[in-house]
Amino acid sequence: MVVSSQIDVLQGELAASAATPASRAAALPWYCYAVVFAIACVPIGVLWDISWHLSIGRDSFWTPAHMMIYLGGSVPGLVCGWLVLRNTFWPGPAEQSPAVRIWGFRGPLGAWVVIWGACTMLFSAPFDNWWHNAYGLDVQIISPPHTVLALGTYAIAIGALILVLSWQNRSSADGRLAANLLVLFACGVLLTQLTVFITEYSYPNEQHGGTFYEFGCRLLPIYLIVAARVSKIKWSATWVSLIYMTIKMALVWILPLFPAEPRLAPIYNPITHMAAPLFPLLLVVPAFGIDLIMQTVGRKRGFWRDTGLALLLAAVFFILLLAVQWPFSTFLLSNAARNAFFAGNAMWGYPDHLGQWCVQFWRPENRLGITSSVMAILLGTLGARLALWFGNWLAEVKR
Amino acid sequence: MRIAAARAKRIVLCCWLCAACAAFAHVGSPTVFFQGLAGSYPIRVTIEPPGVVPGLAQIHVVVASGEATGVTVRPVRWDVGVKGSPAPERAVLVPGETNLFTSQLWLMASGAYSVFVEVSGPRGEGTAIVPLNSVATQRLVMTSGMSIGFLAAGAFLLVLLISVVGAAIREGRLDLGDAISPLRRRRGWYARGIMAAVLFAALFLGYKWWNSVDNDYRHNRLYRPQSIQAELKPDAAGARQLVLRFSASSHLDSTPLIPDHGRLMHLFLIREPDGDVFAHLHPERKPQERDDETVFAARLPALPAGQYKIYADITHESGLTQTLTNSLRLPPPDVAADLTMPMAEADDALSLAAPGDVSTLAFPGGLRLERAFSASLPVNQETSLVFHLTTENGAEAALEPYLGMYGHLIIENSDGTVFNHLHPLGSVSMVSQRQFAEREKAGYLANKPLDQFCTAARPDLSFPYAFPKAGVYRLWLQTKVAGRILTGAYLLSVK
Repeated sequence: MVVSSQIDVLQGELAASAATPASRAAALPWYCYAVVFAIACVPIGVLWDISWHLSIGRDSFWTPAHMMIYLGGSVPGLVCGWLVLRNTFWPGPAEQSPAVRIWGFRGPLGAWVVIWGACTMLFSAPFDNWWHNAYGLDVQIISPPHTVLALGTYAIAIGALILVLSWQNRSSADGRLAANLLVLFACGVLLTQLTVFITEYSYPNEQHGGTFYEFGCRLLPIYLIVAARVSKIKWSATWVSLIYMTIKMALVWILPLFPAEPRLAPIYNPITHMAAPLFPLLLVVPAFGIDLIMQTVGRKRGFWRDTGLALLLAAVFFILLLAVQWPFSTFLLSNAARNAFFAGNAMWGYPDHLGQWCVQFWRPENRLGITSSVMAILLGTLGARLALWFGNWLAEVKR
Repeated sequence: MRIAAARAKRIVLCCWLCAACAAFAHVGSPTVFFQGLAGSYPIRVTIEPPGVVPGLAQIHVVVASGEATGVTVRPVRWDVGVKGSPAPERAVLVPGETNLFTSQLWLMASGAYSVFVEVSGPRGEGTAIVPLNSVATQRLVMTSGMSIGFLAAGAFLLVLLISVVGAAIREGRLDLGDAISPLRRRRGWYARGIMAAVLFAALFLGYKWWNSVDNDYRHNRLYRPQSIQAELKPDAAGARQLVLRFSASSHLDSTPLIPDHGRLMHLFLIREPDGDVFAHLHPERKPQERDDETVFAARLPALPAGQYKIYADITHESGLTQTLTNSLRLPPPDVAADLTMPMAEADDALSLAAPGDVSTLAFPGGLRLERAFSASLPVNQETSLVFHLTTENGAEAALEPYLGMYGHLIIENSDGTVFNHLHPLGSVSMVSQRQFAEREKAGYLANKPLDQFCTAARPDLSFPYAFPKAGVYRLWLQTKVAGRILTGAYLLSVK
């Protein structure tokens, strides 16, 4: 209900903004669209690549999944490089030039962050190659070179968010709908990237364990809270969670449609189609809780006020995540989820020895208890406090 | 030749790879050599296993008859067999060559593998099984050039990030056209300082993380020769007995041991520093005193006193082969050394001749063993180490199988960092080959005689090999004629 009423509001605002000549004059620049849509290529490409590794195994520099990741780094990097050159060598009037100065060059702050991210991605490639030669091919998802790569991709996405936010923050209320939507989209992409990075801890089989809730509460609320703080659209955290869930579900439904044959040995699970990513976490519920709290508390700020708010947000996030994922993970491990919609049995790859462990909760010694619950809330408070601080700063960024 | 050239190039490329002193049915010599039959096609296969796992193995196949129309290769892990292997990979004919095919295969897990080489041509199709061990044997050391490149790129990224954060705090929230106040400039500098501290803390944590990954690799994933304990104990009859103990369980392979050429263990004792005493013994399994150990014992022949290197070859049921190493100081025998003392086993052999830089060795009965290759060979170049054994009238001597093979060539370099035990069919273990074939007899190889896939012993003394590093090598050739085991010792220089 809330979602459909929001769509009506958005459609109305979009129609109104398209109708006024003033808003046309202040149209969101093309590079914002290019950069924000390009960053979506990264998590989609990474999820595709993980599926490729689980299904086909053998890959090369030129696989479509890799190309998609490169696209997500190169397009924003080149566009922002051009922005810096344009602002440096062909600047407009100072009052129209949203730029900061670094090493004698001038460019939008978001563009600088994107450039740093693109350079970091580039640097991670030879580092990762060396790592493969030194320790073997992708023994773990979370490795130092992958972390450098992830930092680069996050930086690009954060830079894109800053680029659009600075435009939103400078614009009048009636001409910023497109920027508002792109902000939500960028937050959704960032959230998706975060969930990819904690894939190893977020299997349904881990969702009765303390580690999942500790990682989840520490990281997942960050961009939901940032969105709620910076966005000019109501229910923004809910929208962001829906964007994340849509991206994930689309891949869960689309990837297994494609035939695939393992090309590496040993093959313990002779799959015939691409493996599905994990079914998305039902973050829409805790995100809705975050929106409710943020709207109730209002936009007033202050160190202690935000610290108390962070504790409240973390506690509510933890409770709602637990209330949703605890039973939902049980469902995902049941026979009822072994279908094309939930892909409960389509996420295992060719190297997996299928067995009873696939439908069991792992690491019983790690089962969520009081200590890990308290730890999850404390870590969540830390993450939420940082998100509020970052959101407060982003809400005022102009360049 | 092309193989050698290609390998030489790779050696140059991989000069920054620091090989650990790993051991299997070899020490420090991981390249696998095989010469035998794929159906009716005589082939020669060279496999360079990756230094790390998962990693890429390089495979070269020479079809000697030159009539193959296609060659495919397929990696088969012992526990899943062909059923758990991907479709065969087509090997590519090297441009300009008529019979040299090459391919790459990923080895994704540690343990016993084999490569099924399938050759097709006018004489139909044929398959050969080439076993190999898949383990991490190398530790990559970063070159100084690469270190400098990474450091420079890392420093650039760090400084750029610090600058971006400083600029963000200094100007990020300014309205367009507004001037930067001194307060904002100061805050920009504070932000740079804080960011620098955060980044250095992050770098420190990254350094610790890298170290922990490296430690895990070195201690848990990098193959280390299983240690073997050796001690002298008198047996029930009071004779000198060498007792060998090693752990029964290994993280790499916990399958039981199986006999290779009818023996569970092939033990080589070589006296240092000159290799002037060489013994090839076959210890027997003894009751274990603890659950987690395996015990072997062999009655020693009258070996002179001295420091001996111990090399013990064993084979697991999976097909994995290992060489366990140690060294031992032997005191003089209690009784005066009686070199005619009979061996404990009929297949045991002892040589008391120092390896020499000679081309021909004479044996009792007019037999002459001739080395048909240069005493000075280039490093990393594949070659055939060919010997001729002739009778006193110059005819080729009639070889007899010794331990299932017509010839055994044991190679050791002077510092003990390279050791290999070759047969005319190469460095592969025949029993491993048979194990892989046996596992497929109900499936991939159903209704086909297994012997077709287990290359028969070749009645010649030609051994394919490439010396992995420069130095002085000692070679002991063992063969059997008229019921007598002959051991010829040679010295070789590799540059």
